[in-house]
Amino acid sequence: MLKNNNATVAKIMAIYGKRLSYQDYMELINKQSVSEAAEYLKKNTHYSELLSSIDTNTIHRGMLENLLRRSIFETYIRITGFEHLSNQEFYNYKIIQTEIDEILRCIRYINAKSDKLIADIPVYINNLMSFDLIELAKVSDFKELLVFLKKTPYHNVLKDVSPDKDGKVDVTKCETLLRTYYMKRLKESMHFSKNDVHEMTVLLETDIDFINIINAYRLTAFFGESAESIQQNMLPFYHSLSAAKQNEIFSAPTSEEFIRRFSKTKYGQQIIGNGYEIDNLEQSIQKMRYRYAKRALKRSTSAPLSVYAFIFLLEMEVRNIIRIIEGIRYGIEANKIASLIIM
Amino acid sequence: MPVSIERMELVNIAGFIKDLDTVLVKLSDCGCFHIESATKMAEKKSGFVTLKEENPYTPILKQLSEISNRTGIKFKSTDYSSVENDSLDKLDKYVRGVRQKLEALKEEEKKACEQLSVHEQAMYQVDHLQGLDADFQQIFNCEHIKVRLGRLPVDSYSKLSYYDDKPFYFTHFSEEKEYYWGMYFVPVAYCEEIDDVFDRLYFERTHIPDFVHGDSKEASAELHKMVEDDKKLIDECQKKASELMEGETDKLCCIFSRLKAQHDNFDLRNKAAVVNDKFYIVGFIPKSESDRFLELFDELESVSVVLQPADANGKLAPPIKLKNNRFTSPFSMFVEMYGLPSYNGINPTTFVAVTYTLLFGIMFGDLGQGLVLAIAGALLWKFKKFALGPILTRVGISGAFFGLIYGSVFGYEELLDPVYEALGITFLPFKIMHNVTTILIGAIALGVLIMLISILINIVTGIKNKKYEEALFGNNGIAGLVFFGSILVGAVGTLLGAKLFTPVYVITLIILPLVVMFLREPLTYWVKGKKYELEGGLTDFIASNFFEVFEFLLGYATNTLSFVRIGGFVLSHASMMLVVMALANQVSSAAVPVVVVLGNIFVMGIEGLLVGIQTLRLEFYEIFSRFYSGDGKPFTPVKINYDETID
Repeated sequence: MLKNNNATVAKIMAIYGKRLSYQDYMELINKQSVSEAAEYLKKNTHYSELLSSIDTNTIHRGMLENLLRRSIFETYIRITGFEHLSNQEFYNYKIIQTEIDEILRCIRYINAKSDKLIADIPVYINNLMSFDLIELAKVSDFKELLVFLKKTPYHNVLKDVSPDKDGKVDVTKCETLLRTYYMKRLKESMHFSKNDVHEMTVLLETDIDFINIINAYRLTAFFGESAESIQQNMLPFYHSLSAAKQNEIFSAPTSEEFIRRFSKTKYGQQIIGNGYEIDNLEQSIQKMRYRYAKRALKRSTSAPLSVYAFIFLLEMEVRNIIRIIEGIRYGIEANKIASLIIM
Repeated sequence: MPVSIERMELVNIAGFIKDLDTVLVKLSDCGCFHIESATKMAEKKSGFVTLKEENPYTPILKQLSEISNRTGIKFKSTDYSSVENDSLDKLDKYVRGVRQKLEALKEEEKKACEQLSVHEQAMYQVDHLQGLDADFQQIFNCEHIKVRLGRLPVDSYSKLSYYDDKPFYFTHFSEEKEYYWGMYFVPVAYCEEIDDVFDRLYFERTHIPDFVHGDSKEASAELHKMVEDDKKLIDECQKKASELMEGETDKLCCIFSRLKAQHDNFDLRNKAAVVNDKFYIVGFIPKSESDRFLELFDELESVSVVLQPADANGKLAPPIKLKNNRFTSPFSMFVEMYGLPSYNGINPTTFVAVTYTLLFGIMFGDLGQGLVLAIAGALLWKFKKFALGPILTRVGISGAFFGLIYGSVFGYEELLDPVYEALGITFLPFKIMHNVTTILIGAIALGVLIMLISILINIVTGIKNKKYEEALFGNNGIAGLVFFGSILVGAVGTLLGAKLFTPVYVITLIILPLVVMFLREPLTYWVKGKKYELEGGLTDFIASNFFEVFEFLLGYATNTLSFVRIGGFVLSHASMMLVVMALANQVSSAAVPVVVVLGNIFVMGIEGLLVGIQTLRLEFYEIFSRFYSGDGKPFTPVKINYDETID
């Protein structure tokens, strides 16, 4: 019999209750320096423990951002360890997600011929990874990367990708392959009750719909890709946006037409209904992702769904803080920063 | 005439502007004038406007407020005759002078604080380098090697292995949660490259100040001394500031009192309406003060004061000042909490005082605990001026009285038995645990009685204020009274064996009042001689009134049952004390007094709180809701507010 994990759900709700409020974001936005923002986070929010030993007067922005990202992982470890959920394959999704993110980051650095990957790698989770992140940072070309990944499942996923004559790799293709692998693995690991599987699948597939739309929009607006080319770079799953519907939107010749066609879909109508700006498509879709996750967390008592939705919301919160910090650092107007907040 | 509500008189004051300030001073000094904005009243009178002036006293008061905030000195009302005749300029100059002296001292203190911060920071850094036994100057003077001191985040430390092939050496002296404190050595030729590497790893360099000499131990000792000196300097500045304030506080207080009085009086000018060289002020005074009030203006011949009945002007609702006697006045707090009555309404304080004291006493009945509560209330009032104190005294005495009836003293239920036997009183004590049913029925009966009285009050005030729908046809009007009363009489009669629910009884005393309640709106129009028109159609009328009448019926039932809690708390109090006594029997005889005392304190605390809250709940929900709206505005006579906060 499947065990329910109500204690984990309750714990998540308790932690979620401490999330940053709109007021907190406004206070942060109105700070004059990164130090002031860090001081506010240290004194007034649930990040106080994380920042307790930090001197906010001297902290480097990059380090503050790394610490905030680390806090997501610490929370993830805490809640999945609470009822030993981490023993179940599904709950390792964040580890796989991070491994994929790091491989993709490595590919981007290879393409940029940069050796600065080491500064950004989340070394604090190195012991949970299936490969050594420090060694990954030493990889200098794609061939070397494939050799490095030989003993991991990612080797098979990427083995057919070949770099061009300059040694550059198609990152979008790699991303599609790796994310598809991730989604398949995630779906296969859902050994829950029927209802939990259903709820989780709906959330995942809805999120895939959103991710696909964002990627397709970028390919249309910034690269002018054809519908066929876009389709190849889409994750092969969907919830509401069927292949036919996707084709219709992706074949839009311009970004304006793309938005017009998308606005007629269920999601488009929801964006308009919620008062989000459809023309600012990426931002509005991120808000919808946030909304769906928030609704899932509030309505469901399913542990996998709660963990997944909560960690997503936490990531969004950290993303918001980082955007605010960047905004303060570069002297962007408060109302402009406020418009970038997702909640 | 309204019961227990102070009668008011509408005051109209008119005069020449030259007398306006004198009049306003008199109004705030008299302590009984509730001012209203005269502009609204005067709008229709030709040419009247509000005075829009900047208050000339605000800037100096702001300076005083700043001095108060900086020094923590609280200004209070004081005799200001010593500065009464000083010009505003002279006072401004004086206050500015004090402020500047204070600011100079604060500036000196601020600089010392900054210096302290620099030295403490250096001390903090040097203290983390205690493992280093070399002279700082020697380290930094190396010719071919550069040395960087500082701290490296823990995460970055583990990334150092990535740079194994780079020409540097990092060593750490101490560790913190997030950092390794240490230094790295790098050949001069590679300095820029390695600095860049450490920069990317968020290495925070410690720049040892020039004033630090020797090795880490010597430097630390030197810095500790500097920190001590800084602290002494700060203390000295604070001492000088307090000495300065000691000498000036009295005079500043006089100036504040004078200026605050002038400031607040000047603010009242905004309430006056002005035309040409004349002003007009309107407000209310208690009727009992009218003679004293008129006398104030005897000397001002050019000022005319006209008194009118409080309700003479429909635009201005008279303010409410409750009139209570010594027993009931503490309970006005509860009434004010709910909202004051309207001017023509009823002051429910007496009713609240009686019912609250009675209900609390019944539920909290214990002679010993009641007396303790009464004494505690009296002490709280005497020493802390705690507003609930006098209420606790009254309800405590009530609890003690009912404790006498129940024969309960600090949970000892048999203690009074011999006394009653000796007095030959056979019907007392009334043992709670032997009369559970009687207590519960009695609680409902008491509740019903209170509800009926509340309905009667509503009928009387409704008729007086010509609110016929509420008084005659509503659920708290005559129709409701007949319906509720008939059900009760019928039920009691049936229990006693009389068959009262005959068809005639049911139709005339139960169904007919229900029909009246159902048709209360059209009936009200009919009584007033007006024509009633259905606004939302017949179906809407039937549906909405059906549900409303249904809600009334539910209300009667739930409100009646709500009073069962009185009985419930009587029983729970007795039960809790039984538990205390049972516990006392389980322990050794030496521990018995401890258990009994602690048990009594616990029960008094928890029961006192619960009973207090539940009784208030009964007052507000089951009683007030039947006859009281609480929409009156409080009587607030103008006076000088000696608070330092200046807007």
